[in-house]
Amino acid sequence: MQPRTIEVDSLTKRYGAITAVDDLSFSAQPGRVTGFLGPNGAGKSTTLRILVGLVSATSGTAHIGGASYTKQHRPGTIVGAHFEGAFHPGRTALQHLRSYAPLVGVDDARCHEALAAVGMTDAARRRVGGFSLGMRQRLGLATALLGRPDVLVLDESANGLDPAGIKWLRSFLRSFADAGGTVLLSSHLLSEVQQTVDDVVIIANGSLRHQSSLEELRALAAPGVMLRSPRADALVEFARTRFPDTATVEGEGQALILGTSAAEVGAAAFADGLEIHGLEETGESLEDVFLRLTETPATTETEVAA
Amino acid sequence: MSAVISSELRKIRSTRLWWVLLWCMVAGVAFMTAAIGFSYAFADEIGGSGVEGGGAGADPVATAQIIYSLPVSFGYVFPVMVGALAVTAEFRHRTIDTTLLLEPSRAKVIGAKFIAVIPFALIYAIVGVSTGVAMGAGALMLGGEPTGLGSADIWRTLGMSVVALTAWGLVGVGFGTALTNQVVVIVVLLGWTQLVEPIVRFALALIEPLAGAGRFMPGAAGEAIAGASFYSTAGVGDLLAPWAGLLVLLGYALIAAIIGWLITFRKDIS
Repeated sequence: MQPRTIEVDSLTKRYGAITAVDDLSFSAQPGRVTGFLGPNGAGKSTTLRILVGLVSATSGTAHIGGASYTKQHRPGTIVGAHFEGAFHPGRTALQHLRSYAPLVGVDDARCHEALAAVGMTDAARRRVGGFSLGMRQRLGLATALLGRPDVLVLDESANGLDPAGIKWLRSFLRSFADAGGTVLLSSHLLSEVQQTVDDVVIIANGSLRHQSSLEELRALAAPGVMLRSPRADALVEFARTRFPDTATVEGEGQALILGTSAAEVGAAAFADGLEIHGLEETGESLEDVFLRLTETPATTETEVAA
Repeated sequence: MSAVISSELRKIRSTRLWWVLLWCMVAGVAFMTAAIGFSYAFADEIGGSGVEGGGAGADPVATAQIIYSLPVSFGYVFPVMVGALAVTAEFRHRTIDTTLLLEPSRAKVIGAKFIAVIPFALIYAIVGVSTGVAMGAGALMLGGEPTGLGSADIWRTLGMSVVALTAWGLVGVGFGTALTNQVVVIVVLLGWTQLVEPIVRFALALIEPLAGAGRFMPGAAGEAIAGASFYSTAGVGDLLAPWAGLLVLLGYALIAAIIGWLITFRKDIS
């Protein structure tokens, strides 16, 4: 596989007064699975569609391997892409692939190979109309793989998969990336892909909110301590005096204290003579961080100011 | 280009619709030619002529010609639908995404659809015209009328009917490209060809200065190719010369396709 980087540079897409993608820049590297994340309507699909030439950009560039998608000869042999839906219900899985095979210059044997690669050999002669969402996702992936591409661009491919399906997709994309391929996978749910992706690109309202490896995103999660005591009044008093800015009382006899460690809170409780029944380090989950990064209303304010 | 055409051929062949429509065409054409064939053949028994200007008293070859051209007058909607659906199904089921991913040249995709529809429209044309001949000749024979199948004029009409019906398939691709919505295309084309155009042609024939305009309507142009028409014989205006009819009909296909290419296919596919 040839290493090809996806590079999006200052990409903007406006529909009349609405800015769907706003000066967006990010990259996805070969050998990595990059999660392209954001809430519904963040501009993920628009960005991916610009990347593969279905939608034209207002300004900026989106390149794969140094060139725009539509400028490549037989682009389907370089980039495998699939968007949600895209099936005629009356065609069988095999007929679906055979319809596109001439466009990537492959024969029937390769259609069977692509079906086998996604574990759908038995469903080859069944009509897509009767497929579950999970089977459609697999067939979409087989369509993307048809031309033996170096890059996969997948729109919400994990959507609707059951846990076994997600596990399968994870190992599939893992081995594709390990062979040197580049994967860009969009999702509106971090939890759906957090065990699949190496890197994350998070967008909201069309603009970049965060790009890093998944580990670095994890490190952004603020640490915290969950404290439980049978003496609710004393606990409230303790939290108010010792951690006035960072503690929140989370119900009867329970408080969450952010930005600290179990050792620090334990020592303070011991010094104050507070009886404690629970002391555990918790803090923000990855999902919380994702929400925090995408919920920031900063963009709307700057837009108003501009 | 051959790869795109091959892909388009596979797309049409892999759905059941094209032969479901073909059977609908056989049934529809069989019914119309039998019904009108019998009304001519047994006009004397029924009492009066089946259709004004026709009837058993008219030139038997002309009568046969009218009956044999019925597949064009009534059956053209079927190749039109198969042509239109080659485009609209892509938008309805969103397969246009994958098509344009793998062949980003939108003009090439439209061109390939035009070419790929030709063999299917030709099958529709041959089957439709054959059905019309079988039922029409059968009706005439039962009524003791000459079938006209010994006449070169009749065979020319049959050959040109095949050309006309094939051209209608291309009109379907053109309108599908311009309108892209399956339901809208079917409503517009059925509504126009089966309802609006006959009325407009009838009305135009009554208005002296516009009497010739009806000839340029798509349905009239299609009938002109075959050189015979149920409507014109029924007194609803004249027809163009066959070659002019073919050009007018293909003109409709081309203009619709250009409009479609300018309006729809150049737009974002989202």
